[in-house]
Order: sequence, then C-alpha cells, then structure tokens
Amino acid sequence: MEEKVSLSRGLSLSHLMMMGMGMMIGAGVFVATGISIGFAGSGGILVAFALNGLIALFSAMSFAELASALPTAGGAYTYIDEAFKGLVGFLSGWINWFALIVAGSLYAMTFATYTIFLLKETPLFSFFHIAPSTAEEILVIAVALFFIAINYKGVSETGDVENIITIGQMSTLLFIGIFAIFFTLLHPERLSHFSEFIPNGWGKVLMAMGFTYVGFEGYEVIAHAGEEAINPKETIPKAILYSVVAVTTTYLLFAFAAVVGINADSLHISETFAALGPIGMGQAIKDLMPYGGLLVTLAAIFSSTSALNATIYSSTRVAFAMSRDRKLPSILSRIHGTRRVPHYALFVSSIILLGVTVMLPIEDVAASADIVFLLIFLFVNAAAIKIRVERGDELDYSFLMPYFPYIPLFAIFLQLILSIWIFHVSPIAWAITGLWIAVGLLLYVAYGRKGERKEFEREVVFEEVSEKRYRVLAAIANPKNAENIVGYAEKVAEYKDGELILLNVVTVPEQTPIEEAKRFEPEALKLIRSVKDKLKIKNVEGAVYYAHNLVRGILSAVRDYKVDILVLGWKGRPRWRYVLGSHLDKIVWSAPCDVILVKPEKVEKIRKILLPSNGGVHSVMAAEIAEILSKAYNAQVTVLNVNVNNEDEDRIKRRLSHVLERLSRDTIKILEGRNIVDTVIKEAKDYDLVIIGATNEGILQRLLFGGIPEEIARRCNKPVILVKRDLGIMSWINRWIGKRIGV
Amino acid sequence: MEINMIIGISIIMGTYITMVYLVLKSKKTIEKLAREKIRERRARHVKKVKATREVHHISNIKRRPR
Repeated sequence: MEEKVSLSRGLSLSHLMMMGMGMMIGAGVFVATGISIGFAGSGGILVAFALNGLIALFSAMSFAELASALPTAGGAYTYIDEAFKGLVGFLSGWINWFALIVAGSLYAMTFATYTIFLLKETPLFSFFHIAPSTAEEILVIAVALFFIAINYKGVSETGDVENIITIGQMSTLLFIGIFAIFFTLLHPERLSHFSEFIPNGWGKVLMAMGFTYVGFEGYEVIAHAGEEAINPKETIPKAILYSVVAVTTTYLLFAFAAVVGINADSLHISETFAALGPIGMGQAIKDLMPYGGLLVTLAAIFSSTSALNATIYSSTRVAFAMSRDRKLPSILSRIHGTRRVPHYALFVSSIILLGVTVMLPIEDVAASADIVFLLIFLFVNAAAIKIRVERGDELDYSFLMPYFPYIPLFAIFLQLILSIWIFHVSPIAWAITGLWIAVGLLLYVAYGRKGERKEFEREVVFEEVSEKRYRVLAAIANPKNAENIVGYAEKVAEYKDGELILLNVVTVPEQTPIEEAKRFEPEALKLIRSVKDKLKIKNVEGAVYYAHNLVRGILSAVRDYKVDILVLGWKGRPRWRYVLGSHLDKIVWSAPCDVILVKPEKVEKIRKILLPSNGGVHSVMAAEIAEILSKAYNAQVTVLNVNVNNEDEDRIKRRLSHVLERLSRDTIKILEGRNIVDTVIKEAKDYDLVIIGATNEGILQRLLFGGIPEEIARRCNKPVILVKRDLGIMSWINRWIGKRIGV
Repeated sequence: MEINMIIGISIIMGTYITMVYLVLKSKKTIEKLAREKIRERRARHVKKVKATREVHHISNIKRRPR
C-alpha cells in the first residue's frame, strides 16, 4: 500500500496579492496619516509615504529573495533564525511576536476610534449618556475579545470574506484618491493647502516616516503562504513586490485626498490635523465628499477588523513556532484536541494584547508597532545578505534582488535611523520596546539557550505525476460512509481500467501552521488503509493532503493527480443559501474534472436503477455511470422522463437519444406529471438507486433557486448519485464567474 | 514655489520611478530564472527520452531475426 502525503496548493498570484494588501492596509494608515500630517505637514506626509514605499520595497526584495529560496519556511522569524540562530534568532522571534501583538492592539483601537467617530453624532449615543472615551475603551476590549474567541473557535473559512474586504478597502481608498484629483481640478485653489509643504523641517518628515511605517508591514504574510501557493517560487516574490507598489500608490492618493479635502485655512493645515489627532483622516474625507465620513469610517472599520483577526492568528503562530523550536516553554506548542488551534499560545498572546490595549494610548501603541516592525525588517535584510553570501551556491533561488548587497544595506541603514528617530514621537514606545527586549534576554538566558532545536524535517514529497491513465479520486472523511462512496468509485475505476486514489484531507485552522496537520495524519492513514483493505481492485493509491481549507485541499489533489473523475460523499442537507453545501458547491463548480456526488443510504442490493433525465449534457454522463453500475451490479436501468409539457413520445425519445445510446439494456418510462420533483421522488420508491445529471441551469438561477436535480437528490430517501460533467471551456467560464461572485 | 516643495516633489517622483524600475527589473529576473529552470528540466527530459530510445533500439536489433 502506497500513501502519499502532500500539502494543498490553491493560492494564485491575485490571491496572494490580496492577502498582502489586506494586511498592509490594516488600519494603521487611518490613524497614523492624520497624526503625521499634524507634525510633518501636508507635503511632508506625501514625501514620507513615497520614501517609506521605497524602503518597504527594499525590505520586500529581501523577503522575496528569501521566500524564493526557502519557500517552505515562511515568516520573518524563520528567515532570521535560519541566518543567525542563537540569540539573534531568538530575539527576532520574540520581537516579531510582540510586533504582531502591538499591531493587533493598534487595530482594535482604530476600530473603536472610528466606530465612535461614526456613532457619536447619532441619537443612540446621547441616549446612553456615555463619554466617547469610555465608549472607546469598552469597544476596544469587546472587539479584541470577539476576535480572540473567533480564533479560539478555529474559524478558517475566512479566505473569501478577506478577499472581499480587501477589494472593498482598496477600491474605497482609490475611489477617495481619484475623487480628490477631480475635486482639485474643479477647485484648484485647494492646492494652496500644500503652500506650507514642509512647515516643521525635514526632521519631522523622518518622524512621519517612522510613524507611518506600520502601514507598510503586512506583505510578509505572503511568505507565510508559501506552502499553499500555486507555483510559489514565481508567484510569491511577484506578489510581495507588486503589493508594495500598489499599496504605496494607494496611500499617496489617500494622503493627497486628506490634504485637499480638509476644510481649514491653507496656512494652518498641519495645526488642524494635529488638533484632530487619530480621527484627522475621517474628518478630512468627511469634508471632501458627501458621505465621505461614512465611507472612510466603514473602510477603517473593515480594515481594522480583518487586520486584527489576521494579526491575532499570526502572533499565535509565531509563539507556537518558537515553542516548537524549543525557544519558549513547550506548553505554547500544544494544540487543542478538537479545535486544532494552539490554544495556549493564543491565550498568552491575547493576555498581552489586552494589557497593551488597556494600558497605552493609541499614539504610543502605533509608535511601538513601528519600532518593532522596523527592527524586524532590519534583521530580515541582514538575513538576506548573510544567507546569500554563505549559502548562495547551494540554494535554489527563483528571485535574486538586483544591486546586491547595496539595497539591503541601504534598507538596514534607513530602518535603523527611522527606528531611533521615533524616540522623538514617543519615548514611551521605546521604553516599552526596550523592556520587552530585556524580558526576552532574560528568558533566553533562562530557557531559550538550552533548547536550540534541530531542523524541522518535512516528509512532504511532491512528485511529478507523469503516467497518464484514467484516474478516479474518492475523497473520504467519514468512516461510516467511506466504504459506500468508495464502492461506486471502485466500479468506475475497474470499468475504465484506471487507477483509484483514496484521498483524505487533514485540515487545521489558519492559526495552526499547516505542517502541524501531521499530528492528525495517523487517523487519516488508518481510514484510508481500512477502506483500501476491502477493495478488490489493485490499482489503488492513498493520499493524505494537509490544508487550511478543505476545498483547496481537494482541488489541489485533483490538479496534482490530473484526475478524470472526482467522487464525493454528500449528506443531502445543505445549509441555507447553498445548493449542495458550503464546501460542495465550491468543489463541484470549481473542479476541473467530472464529479460524482454520492448520497449514501442503506440498501441491500442494487437491482433496479432509476435514471431521471431530460436529455441534458450531464444526463449523458449520468447514463454512462448508470451503464457502468448496471454491469457491475447486474441491475436494470430505467430512464424516466416526466412529461410536463404534453410533448409527443417520439419527440421525447429523440431528445433522450444521446442518453439511450449510452445504455446497453434499458427501459424508458414516460410519466405525465405537473411537478417533476414530486413525480420522480414517488417513482424512486420502487428503485434501489437513483442516478441523475446535475442541473444545466445558469449560475444566477442556481444561486436563486437551486436546481431540480439537486432538489430530487436532496429529498429522495434512496441512495442518489448526482453526476456533473466537466464541460471544458463552458465549465471554465462558469468557474470564472463563480469565483468572482463568490460561489 | 518654495525650495522644500521642489525638493519634496522631486523626491516623490524620483522614489516612485525607482520603485517601478526595481519592480520591473525584478519581474524580469523572476521570469528569466523560471524560463531557465523550464529549459533545464526539458533538457533533462530529452536526455532521458533519448537514453530510453537508445535502449529500445539496441533491444530491437538483438531481437531482429538473422
């Protein structure tokens, strides 16, 4: 018996860019921009954003180079540890953990600040008689607790929602920026807001650069996804670099909009922003356009919540990884038995996050986040130099940054200056960072030094699937119905003289690193082996895929094995708004192969098969499957057509001719009836198995009404096989539309 | 126009052009390396196929009746 263990790969370049940009526009910009205009001036903020974009791009190049050479590692901590080991490696992880926690705290505060900004003028607020500051404090804790709870629950199906939020954020900010350009064309006098371009000197521009740097962190999340990206060696470096440029452009437009939008005397722009503090951005956009306040507030709220969620799980992952590397106590790498989340790491991260949130004002939290991220990126640049110099020959790079080593050296120099300069914005932030580093040093002396861990060995082997024979892939998860599902898959594989692949996808939530799914591998292998032992055919292979998302896991296996037909089980009880189920809808309409859905019900022996058909393309495929199973079980197939339009019999037979051609011994039955579903279900009582082609209806009809075949399959109490043929280009168009409208 | 404004606008334009230049240059590198890898893989494959054909050819010669 041969079983392969693989990681699922489903993230494309656009997915990765969305992830990176979503994290970068993580609310930091909403708070930091207004405050920075306050001290650097209207032109100073634009210069700060442009220069920060360049420094971020330099660091992004180091990241991209490291990610291309070490695609499975992912994350700043892992790269720095790979290069330096020992104390520097430990400190980088320790600082990275704190950076993510502080960023999370900043996002929770941004959420509260902007929500209160939106609500404070509504009657609801005056009704409760709460001071805005008190309401903000309550809200900050509430939102942090809410996302901690979500992370504890191990919710991992957030990918699509995150994409929608990111598209919403980007388009809102770009819309505001473009609106501001047109606004300026109509009101050129607003350009006088730039008359005092840098009112307080270049030192303040440096301060603004340091203070807004937090808005340029987040692309490293792309490197985390190295294990799940399609063609990671090419897509990851590209996604990292493109997202930095896209975000810099967006920020420049956004800051321009704020400056031209604010209603203030052109000689007192910076003073106005200084007085408004964190909500300066909100006020400026409110002045710029109708409903601007609402628009920017919603963008800030969405950005902060998605970024808060992402930073909580990223910080949990860093604490978990350090513990797994024996640099922190082993309790932090324990995984919850049922939720599969590193719950202790999450708990400790949450306590620190709540502590920072309660104790510090938002400006100091933002400054702390800036310092720690600058330090982390500084180390990443150093790691890129060290790794290329020492191990460049042995590593397989798919991206080499140009002008090496000048770019990373320049980035180190600038980041060092900026991090030191932040002292002028918030001395408290430096004190807190210093304290955190001191605690880290103590911990290293007491604990981390002892446990330097060996390399985490990966048993994952990707093999090129070259030999082409008919492949049937049966995805199994539930031991109760696995045999039943695989039974049908076996018959198809046997008839086609093909190969049967038994797939079990082990999923872990986003909070847990994907390789930790290994812990649950024995159960998966046990299930595959138990099913395999009962099969008669010889060409059977087992495959275990690790994934954060079941859909991606299955689709990844389908692609890797170049599968011809995918067999899945179905409970027949879809959730609201889904035709088949949240996962199945996506798999069925996205799989680049034929799909069979089996709704298993108990039946002693299959003697009579019912094939309800109206002659559609999927019905022809259903007839092929009916023929295979009728031969395997020696059963009789009856083709059923419900004549709702009083058509003549010859016409019906002509329409069903393609279906009838596929069957060697068939009976055709034409019933009169008003309701197709009820008639078929009534007739099915006398049969042992119902095989039916999927709906031919368009994607909008499916969304609104579901399909007749799906309804029959759902309501019928006999075993049902639902068949969907891959229609080549038509299926591709369907998939393309489906992806864009989130089906 | 004050001097700070001239310097500031020059910096913004300069950095932006540099960023776009670096990204395009990097894109080229990534694609060039990817193409090289594909070429290498193909070369390996062709070598393998040639070797297999040679073996077949030899075995056919042996089997040919005299």
